[in-house]
Amino acid sequence: MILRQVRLHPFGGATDRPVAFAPGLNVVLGPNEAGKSTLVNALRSVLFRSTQLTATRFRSEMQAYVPVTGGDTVRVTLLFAVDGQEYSLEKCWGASGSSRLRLPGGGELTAPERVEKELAGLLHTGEGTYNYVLITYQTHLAGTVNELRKNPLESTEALTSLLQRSIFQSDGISIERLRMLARQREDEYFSKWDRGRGAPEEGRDFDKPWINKVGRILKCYYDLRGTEHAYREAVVYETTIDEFAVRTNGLKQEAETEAAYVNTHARFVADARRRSELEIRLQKFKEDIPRLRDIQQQWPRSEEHVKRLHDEVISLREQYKELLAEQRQTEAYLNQQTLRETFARAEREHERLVEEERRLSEIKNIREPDVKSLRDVETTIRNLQIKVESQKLALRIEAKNSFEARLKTSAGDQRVRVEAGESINETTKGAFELLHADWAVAVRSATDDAVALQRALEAQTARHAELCRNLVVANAEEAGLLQRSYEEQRTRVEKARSALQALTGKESYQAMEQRVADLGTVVPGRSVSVISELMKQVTAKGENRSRDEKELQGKCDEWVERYMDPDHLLDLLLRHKQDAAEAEQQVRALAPLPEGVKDATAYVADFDRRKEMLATKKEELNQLLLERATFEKNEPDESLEELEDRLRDQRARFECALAEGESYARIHQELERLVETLDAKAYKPLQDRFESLVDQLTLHRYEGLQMEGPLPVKMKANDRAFTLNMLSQGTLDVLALAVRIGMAEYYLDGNDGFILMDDPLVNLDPERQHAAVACLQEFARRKQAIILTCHPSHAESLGGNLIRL
Amino acid sequence: MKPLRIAHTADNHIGLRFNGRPYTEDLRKRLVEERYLAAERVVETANSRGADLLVIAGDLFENTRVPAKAIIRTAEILNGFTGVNVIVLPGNHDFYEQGNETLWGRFCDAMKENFLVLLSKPEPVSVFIGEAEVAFYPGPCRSKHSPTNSIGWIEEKPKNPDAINVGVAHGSVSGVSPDMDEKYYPMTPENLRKAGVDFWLLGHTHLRYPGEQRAEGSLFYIPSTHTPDGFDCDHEGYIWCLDVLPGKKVVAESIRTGAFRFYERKRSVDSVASIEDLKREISMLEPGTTLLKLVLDGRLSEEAIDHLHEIIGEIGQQFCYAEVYHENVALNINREYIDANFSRDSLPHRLLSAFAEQPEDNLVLQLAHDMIREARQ
Repeated sequence: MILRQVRLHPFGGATDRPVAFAPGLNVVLGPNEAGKSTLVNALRSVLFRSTQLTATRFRSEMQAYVPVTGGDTVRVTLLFAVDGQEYSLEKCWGASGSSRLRLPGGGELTAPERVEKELAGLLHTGEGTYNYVLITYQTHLAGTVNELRKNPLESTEALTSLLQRSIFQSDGISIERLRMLARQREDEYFSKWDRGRGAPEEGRDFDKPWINKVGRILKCYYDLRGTEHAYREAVVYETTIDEFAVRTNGLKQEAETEAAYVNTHARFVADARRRSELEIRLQKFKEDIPRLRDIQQQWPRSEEHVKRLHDEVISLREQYKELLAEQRQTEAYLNQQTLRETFARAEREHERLVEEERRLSEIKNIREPDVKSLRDVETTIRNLQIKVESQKLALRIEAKNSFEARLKTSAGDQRVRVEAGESINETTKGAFELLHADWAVAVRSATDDAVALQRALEAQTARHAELCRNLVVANAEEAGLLQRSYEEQRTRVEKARSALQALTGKESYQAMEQRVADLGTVVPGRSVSVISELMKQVTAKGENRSRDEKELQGKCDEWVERYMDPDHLLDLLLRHKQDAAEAEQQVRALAPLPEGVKDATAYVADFDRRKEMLATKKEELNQLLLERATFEKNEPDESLEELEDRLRDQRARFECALAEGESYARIHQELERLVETLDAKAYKPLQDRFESLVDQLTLHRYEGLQMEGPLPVKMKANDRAFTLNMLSQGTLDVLALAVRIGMAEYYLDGNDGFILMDDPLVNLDPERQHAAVACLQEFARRKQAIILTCHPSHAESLGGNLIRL
Repeated sequence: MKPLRIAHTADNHIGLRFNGRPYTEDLRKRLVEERYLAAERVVETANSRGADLLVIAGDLFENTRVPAKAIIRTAEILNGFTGVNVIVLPGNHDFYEQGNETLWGRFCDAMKENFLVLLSKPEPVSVFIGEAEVAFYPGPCRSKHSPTNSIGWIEEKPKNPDAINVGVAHGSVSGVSPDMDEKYYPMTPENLRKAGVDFWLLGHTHLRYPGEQRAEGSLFYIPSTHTPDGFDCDHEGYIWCLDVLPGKKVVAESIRTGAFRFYERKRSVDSVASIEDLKREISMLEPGTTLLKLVLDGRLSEEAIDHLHEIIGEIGQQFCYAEVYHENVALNINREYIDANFSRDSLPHRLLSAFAEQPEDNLVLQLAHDMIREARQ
């Protein structure tokens, strides 16, 4: 396509005048604000913007171009030629958008969609390519490469396709588009599907499905799983309904069985119960009527009898009192007798006591210590005597003259007379003394102190004698005997005293004696035992009578309470008789027990049990029906048969989706394999062209490029590679210019076309400007180039068709 | 003497909601209504043939929970029968539940007094047509599924040889109905024979048996549905009209009562001629009352595919419902086609050639071709 003329009427603030373009180089010169940018925007709008805009889109995309002077319409008319054929395009945006494309043959398209479609065909490439390659703003120039890299889809892919076409003919098919379609199709099918596992990615099955970017296979899978789930639920539902039916039927049958029994036997049971009640009543009447009759007869007699009993009780009480008095009297007599007898015994004991006391008084009271003392003295004496004895001396006195002397020996003191010529022989212990009026002879043992011994012996002997004298005994033995006698007697006295005390008790003998003396005369009556026996009898009788009286009185009271009086009792008795007759009649009217039933109680109990079971079954049935009604709310919308049908279809669709997905995967794989064989060669021509232009435009400063796909990413100089961010603005502009021209050449290869640039020389130094002008002029010899500038010097350098704004 | 005439239908499925397919709402309503309209035709047919008895061998209703108004309307339709009695057997969809008489209780209440004989129990029931006794021996269904049938009790029952002894049951019959899991009250011809009745009136299978329009002396009769209800019912909907002649000879005639048709066919198309054949076949159908399901496969030339697509488009416009599956109809892409349509050694040529070698890659080939075509646009 080459542009012939554009008219803005109105568009922004531009003057309504046609701007004509020539083939080859066109330079649009105008100062700032002259409308150059407006012209570019108008060209973009007429070529790419639909006139069917929503109000929102109009406001965002076209409102800025509505003239400030007023109106609501924006209009552009473009005359252009494609392959030598002339076209006219008019577009109007606003309140009533419209499009009109006049065709070379005179035909006209006015439907906006058809106009856009036809235009797209005439342009040979899309808006993106024009925006990033063919129509550039100055401010965008430097961003060309980055912009292209950011937006590769259309422009660079289209370019790649072009490049590839030169090596690998594509039959008019965009290879990139084909690859894109293959990729897209594969993604469409396999998005969120794990091919390796044959399942949703991350295991996100039907229960927690993916929502966004769900591929076709996954969608079919979810649909299938959803239907399978619904089918399973429907199966469960129907199975449960079947179970309900079985249970319902079962319960109903059981209930009917029980109901049949209950219905059949209800009357018999009712009659059996009634009979049982009536029989109980009759039994009661059988018991009550005689009883009442008895009462009726007994009542008056009983009342009389109560009176008699009462009197008897009183009489018996009197008797008892009398007997009691007699008993007391007899007891008193007996007590007297007892006392007398006791006193008699006491008297005897007293006499005995006196006698024993007398005897005691006759016995010397020798105390044990005295006896002991005496014995001790005797023992001492014996010991001394032994000692003295051991000091035995034999004395012989031969008198020549007669004499008399006193002889003191251990044996004693004696006068001895010894006649002349006589002798006396004496033995003595310890010592002896012969005492004459004229002389004394004392002889003692040389061992021990016989004298002391003798003196001790004498002392002891004297003591002994004194003790004996005191005690009036001969010796200790006698003292002992006397002491024992005394003690024995004393014991006897004590015994007598105790015996007396046993009889007198705490009382003294004298007091008893006095009491006896004070006793009166009591006439003895019947024996106590007889009286006691009589009292017992009277008591027993009295108690019996009293009990009988109470009992009978109790009965009478009870009768009064129950029946008020005998007349009322009679009425009651008559009523009972009547009721009994009626009950018998009713019993006769009742149905007998069914054949085979012997035990009415068991029969009724069984009936009750079965009736209860019937109620239970009914309740269970109601519950079950309620449960079922609640469950039935979950009824699926579709029947099992419909779900089976749907399942079959969906399984087929899923299999089909899988097969198609795999097919697209294979297509994509094969396509990539084929493309890979040519990619390596595809970009070389472009790289060569870019490098040639860069070399020319940088005056051989940079001679090489490092490419990434169809785009340069580094510039090489002196064997060094510089990334784009290391380059100066001017060098970036040069690179951008080279890329645009290079791409445009390829893009427009074989077709008429145009390139539009806005002040491409502004950042270049004069030498580079010169080189750029040469490049542009060279380009314009083959294609249409429209250069916008506000610099007259640039316009002059470029030459070509000058258009002043 | 006029023979006993029995009109026999089954599987009416009144209350079916047709939710299983994406019918339009209008069509769905028509299909639902058709259950009633076809029932009216059944009664009209029975009346016009002077039938003495109308026997419904199960599944009169779609389930036990159909709304009361459906029950009442059905009863009103059946009350229009001019014969002696309407005999109804509960089937496995509208099974009889003791204690839950919501469905059958309402139905009995809505039917005329002494007109309906509900065969809800496994015990003989006799009706008298004049002096002739017709004894029915039913096998009612008590649940949706059962691994055993309900007719076992009949064999032991003594039969009056002077009566016309008719068995009425609902379930699968081996050799006639598909029931692989044996869960639909399965019966065998032997079971039916041993029961000792004169003949059987059955339901459950949605296919007519015997298959011919006229039949004589068959052990059992299955009418199919009175109007079809899905693509598994490839017929027009019928009832049997049976005459029991002296000697208990039965002559039966199948009479159409359905208005809709569910027409499912699998066809292979390999040429324009075969497409035309298909078109002719379809043109014989009544589009307003035919629901069509076509599953097509085959390989065609491009122009034939275009022609087929045109016809499919027309079908979609004409028929009240159409499902046409033609994913397996592929362009006949062979070596000659590829050479004629793509430059030798071009990328499309190479791509298609890679798949044309293997016959099993037909789908891949088709899709690759379609994609190439799309990329070209």
